[in-house]
Amino acid sequence: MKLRATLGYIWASIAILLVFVMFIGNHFLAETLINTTGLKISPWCDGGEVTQTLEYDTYKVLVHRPVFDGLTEERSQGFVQVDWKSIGKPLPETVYAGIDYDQDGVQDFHLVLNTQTNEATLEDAGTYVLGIEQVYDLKTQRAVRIRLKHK
Amino acid sequence: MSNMQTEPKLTPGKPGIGGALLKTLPMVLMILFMILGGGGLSTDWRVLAGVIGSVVFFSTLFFLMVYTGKTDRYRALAFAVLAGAFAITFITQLIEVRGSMVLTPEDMMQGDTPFCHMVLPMVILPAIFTKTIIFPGSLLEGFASIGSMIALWFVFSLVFGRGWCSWGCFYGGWDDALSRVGKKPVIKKVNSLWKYLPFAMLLLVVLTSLVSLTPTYCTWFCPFKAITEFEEISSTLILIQTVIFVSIFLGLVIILPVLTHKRTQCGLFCPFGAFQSFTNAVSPVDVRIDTAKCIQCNKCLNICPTFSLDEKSLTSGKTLITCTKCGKCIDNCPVGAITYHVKGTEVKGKNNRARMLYLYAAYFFLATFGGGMVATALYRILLLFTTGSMLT
Repeated sequence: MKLRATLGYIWASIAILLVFVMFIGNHFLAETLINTTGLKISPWCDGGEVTQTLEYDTYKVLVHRPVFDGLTEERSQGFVQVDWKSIGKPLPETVYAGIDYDQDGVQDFHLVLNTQTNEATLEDAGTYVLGIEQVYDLKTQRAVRIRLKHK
Repeated sequence: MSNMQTEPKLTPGKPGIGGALLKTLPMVLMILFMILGGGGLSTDWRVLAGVIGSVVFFSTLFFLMVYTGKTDRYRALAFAVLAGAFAITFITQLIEVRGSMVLTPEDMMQGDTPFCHMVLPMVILPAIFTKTIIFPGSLLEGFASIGSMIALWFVFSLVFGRGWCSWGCFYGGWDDALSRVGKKPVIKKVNSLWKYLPFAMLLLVVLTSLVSLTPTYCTWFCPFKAITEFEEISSTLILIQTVIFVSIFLGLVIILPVLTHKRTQCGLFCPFGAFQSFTNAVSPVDVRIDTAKCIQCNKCLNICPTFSLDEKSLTSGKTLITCTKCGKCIDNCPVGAITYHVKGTEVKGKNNRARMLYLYAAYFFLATFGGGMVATALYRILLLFTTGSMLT
């Protein structure tokens, strides 16, 4: 009983120090946690990793990997995100991109985006391309998510 | 009753003013160190006034806790001010940065959604299965990053267990404060079965989040979106979600706490609270009843704001796992039979050593977590009085 009581008091005293250390070292601990676990933001939130970059004169097009991620297996429907990022100058009024999201050498769809109205149009879409989900006006770029059916 | 008359009303280790000041000094130094954060003092008198006001406020309340031997009375005030300060700070910052409280799909896609502890139960299983966090926030950058909040939560759960819900949660002060409005509750009896609802909610949101890979509590239920940020009503679905969270806010956070004098959101609904209950097992301090002293007057059962005591507690001497260690039962026990207790030690009436050990850790957390927010909120209020706007 005496040993348990001593241990109890030691733990309760350490607790005070832990709170202090936690506030002081919060950023370090957070970094350690994220780096050690390798955790990332869900691709359903941030669009997933960029797998292709298409360079143009005043802008570049970033194509993310297609997202079908499920809990244990891939879902039947997902999306691919395409970003237009300006380089130096503002984006032109109309921008285009031919996208081969699965990188099989065949273009899967052609995307046209009016950067003034934020309206996007799909052209030459294959059977696995379901349509435009939404156009996003982000801080440094425009993004379009295109709904896909799993092949 | 005879016991009540013969036993003196105990106030644990009530020191003199000098002793109380001495015990308060370490806390004041720690608060000063954390709130000032090593940064230089601002030249704007309003910022300075905010910081001084915050330090004085938290230091005074701690002194009063030590001097009077009462815990809950002063904790509740600090806790309520934290909740109000958080709302003022958060909303004004949002309006400055985004122009409104509306959360757009763009904000979410860019990881601009601050992470809060309520999301934790929903992200753990998906993180294990998919190695991803199913929340549109930032891992390490910006205000309330995911890594920072998880690290904070992990350490503080070890230290306080569910004490988080009465000493750290920046939402809990709302229903805690409102549960103290009015002299007597209008609704005197709440069916005890309701206290299992948070566990049902926990199961529901954990499973649905796991299947959908979205934080379903945030999307559908979180009442505190009403005082933080919410999605723009751009579809029928979002309209339904808005009606649900506003109703829960009005019902469980505003109206029912006043009518029942209980923390109805925290005690009867919050899935994070249910989740946090399990961490009580590892924290070093709990609340115990000295069964030899207890006169079974049931006062503690009636006043416990989170339904964490039942008849069995009076014979077993233990609270239920949902205890938030607020200290209300300890303050109100007529014979001093309830106490903060260091695990592994004997339960023998009030234990001021255990109480002080707990207070130093818990109050330091509350003052540090809330100190910056209260300073900012005071600054915003002064800004409002001097410029007519809370925004810079």
